Amino acid sequence: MAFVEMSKIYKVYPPNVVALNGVDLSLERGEIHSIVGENGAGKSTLVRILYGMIKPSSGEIKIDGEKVQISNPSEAMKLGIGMVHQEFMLIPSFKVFENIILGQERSTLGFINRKKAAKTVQQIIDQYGFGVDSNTVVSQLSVAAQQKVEIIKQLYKKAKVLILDEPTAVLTPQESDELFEQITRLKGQGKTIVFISHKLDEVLKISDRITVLRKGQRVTTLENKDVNAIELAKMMIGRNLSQISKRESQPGKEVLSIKHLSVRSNRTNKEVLSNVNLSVRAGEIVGIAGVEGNGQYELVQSIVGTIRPYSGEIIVNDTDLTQAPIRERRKLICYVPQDRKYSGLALKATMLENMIMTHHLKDEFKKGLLALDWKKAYSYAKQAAEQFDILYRSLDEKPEVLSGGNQQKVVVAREFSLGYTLIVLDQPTRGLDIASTEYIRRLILQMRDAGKAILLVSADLDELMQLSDRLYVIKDGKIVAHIDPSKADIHTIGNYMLGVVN
Amino acid sequence: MIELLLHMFRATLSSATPIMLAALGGMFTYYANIFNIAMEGIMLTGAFFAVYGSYFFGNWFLGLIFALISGLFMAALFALFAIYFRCDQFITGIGINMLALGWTTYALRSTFKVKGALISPKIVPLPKWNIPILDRLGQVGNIFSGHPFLVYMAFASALLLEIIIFNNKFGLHLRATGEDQEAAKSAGIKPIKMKWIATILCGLLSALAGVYLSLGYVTLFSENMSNGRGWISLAIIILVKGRPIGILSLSMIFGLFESVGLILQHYKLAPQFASMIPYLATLFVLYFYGKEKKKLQW
Repeated sequence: MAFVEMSKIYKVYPPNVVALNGVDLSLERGEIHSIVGENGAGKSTLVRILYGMIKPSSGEIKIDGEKVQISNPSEAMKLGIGMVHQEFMLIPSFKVFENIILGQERSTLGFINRKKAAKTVQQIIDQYGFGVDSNTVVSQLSVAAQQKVEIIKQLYKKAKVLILDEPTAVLTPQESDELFEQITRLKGQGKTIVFISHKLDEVLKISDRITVLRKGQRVTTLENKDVNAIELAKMMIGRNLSQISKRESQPGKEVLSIKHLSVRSNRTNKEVLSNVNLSVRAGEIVGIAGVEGNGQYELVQSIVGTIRPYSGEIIVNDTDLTQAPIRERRKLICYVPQDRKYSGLALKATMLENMIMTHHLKDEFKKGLLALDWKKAYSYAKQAAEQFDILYRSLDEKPEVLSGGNQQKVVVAREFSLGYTLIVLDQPTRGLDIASTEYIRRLILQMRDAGKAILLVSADLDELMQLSDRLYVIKDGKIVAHIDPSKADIHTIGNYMLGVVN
Repeated sequence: MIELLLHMFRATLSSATPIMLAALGGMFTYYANIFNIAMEGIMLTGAFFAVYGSYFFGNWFLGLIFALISGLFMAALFALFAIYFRCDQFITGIGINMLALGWTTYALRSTFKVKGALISPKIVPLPKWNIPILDRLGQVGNIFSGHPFLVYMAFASALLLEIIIFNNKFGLHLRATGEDQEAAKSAGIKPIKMKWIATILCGLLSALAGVYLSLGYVTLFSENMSNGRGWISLAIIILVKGRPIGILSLSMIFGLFESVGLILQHYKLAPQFASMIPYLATLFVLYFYGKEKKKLQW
């Protein structure tokens, strides 16, 4: 008998969105069970129902053969079901042990014996070999360590089923490997792990069984043997995924040249970028790899102009932009920022307004002294939306109603159609589903082949390996390696990112 | 001269108390991440009701009870709008403060038929506590002894709350609520409940500040007698990021400024200038705080 049995789970959002359409899921004790599917396939909805965060429209859940009602997370916890969310549920200013005992404190008259609590938590940490100090303040921990704290929190609450929602999305390859070791160790201790991911190689590496969802339906549940990534992808998207192929790059003249660039933090006066030298030529994609927070953001912002460099030069098309105002720079640079919701789009403005931002500075859209030629803007926006395959109902609609993939396409359409030779991309496919990711990557390659110079900052190493013609690795604000991705493997790059080699 | 200094220090404790009580109240809402500026209004209402209870029942304790009930009511009103209906917290706070000012002024005139201030022997003040050990210390002891009990309560609560906020389950839950509501919820804490509790506690402490003003600091009620103390308490909370121990020390500093101002009035400084001193001090402190903070930003 299965340990956890979810059967015929339906979730309908009125009037007509069917998020889950009769999905079954069974979990055994001591197995790693992966759930894969595209964004919107219903993975998150399904596990959130199990964790009591979402109420199913119909269906039943059995644990050890007994029917249970899980109407909120605390009931799920009582039944031994724990979940680690993508956004960590941690209080940054609290110490590790405070975060772990929060809501479960043992106290006399409300007063907590902090020493004892820290010790108890440390025992659990050591028992499972997590290597975290229970007295560290959480905000000082790395993302990977924070994730461990989340897992420890569930173990402290005696979780028997541990749901991990895309845990590797925020980790480097080495950190992911470490996580997999820990997951396997937990499995050895009889815990059931539900692993959600859309990175298929990871799924194939660690799962015992795999459930594939597509558009709210279960395609299949299969044992992890004799399947490969291509077959899985086909089941997920319902068609063959075409491989992105790439021609040899034919670099032309230098477009972006950064010389001895240093940036200091106003707060600490420490160098967040030190002596960075790099160049991007027309017709090539240059990738920047690094663990997040090692200076990538500052690099992009100094090129775009929101951060003033301390020293060094930024030259685009033979124009020195080091001290130029942002508006001057934007006459030479197409820029896709990392956060489409905050800096890429104005979510409350209309699609049309979003599409012509930056373009509106061009003379061709001016009408008279101050006005915009809206008619022209409209026809341009409409054409661009079609060209870039954006799914929308009307240009008067606000981008907040669009899916993540379509929002990103709006940003990309706007920027790519500016037509400047330098394109700066910061995490262009973050959080997108497979189909949109594939689409945008193809576009990037098309732009390269059209002779654009592209700087690509990404946390997704696969993306960098797939697209870049050259790759710089950045660590602590310094360029530590310059790599030809066709001649290096992902672990070598990971080692540079972590500073294991120099 | 020594006489004067002793008098000044004694007045400092007295002036610091209402500010400290209100700031300790606002500390709860600060940690619960509620932008609460209603201390001023709740203090004023508390001051009025303390006098009301004391005047009609001839009993300071009933004055205190009346004030606490008014604090509870005002806080509940704030919570109803700012938490339950999710209205803008700042606007709600302004509303509460304006309501308090208008209503107490009206009530003073209609109930007691006086304009400006009610001074009457029928108002029974808070009893003063002589601390036997301090009495024996002579002049220095005199600074600390013989104050209304709310003075001692304010100092004791600041110390106690310092422990509670950082070592007690309630404090942990309160800070978790304020820092990340979703994370707190996932730990089984009820954020909305915590926010209500914080607001109510703020109401009670701010009302006590009012009681001290009208039955301890002086024995009368005058229109707008809170006179900006609620705003100063807000400035203090923000400056010390809510730490009760910081509230204690900064309240003392503001108390000192206020008592200096009062003393200067005896030396022919225009009273308008004298009463400006605490507010100038606020701006002065904010200036240095802002300068430090600016350094910390990008």
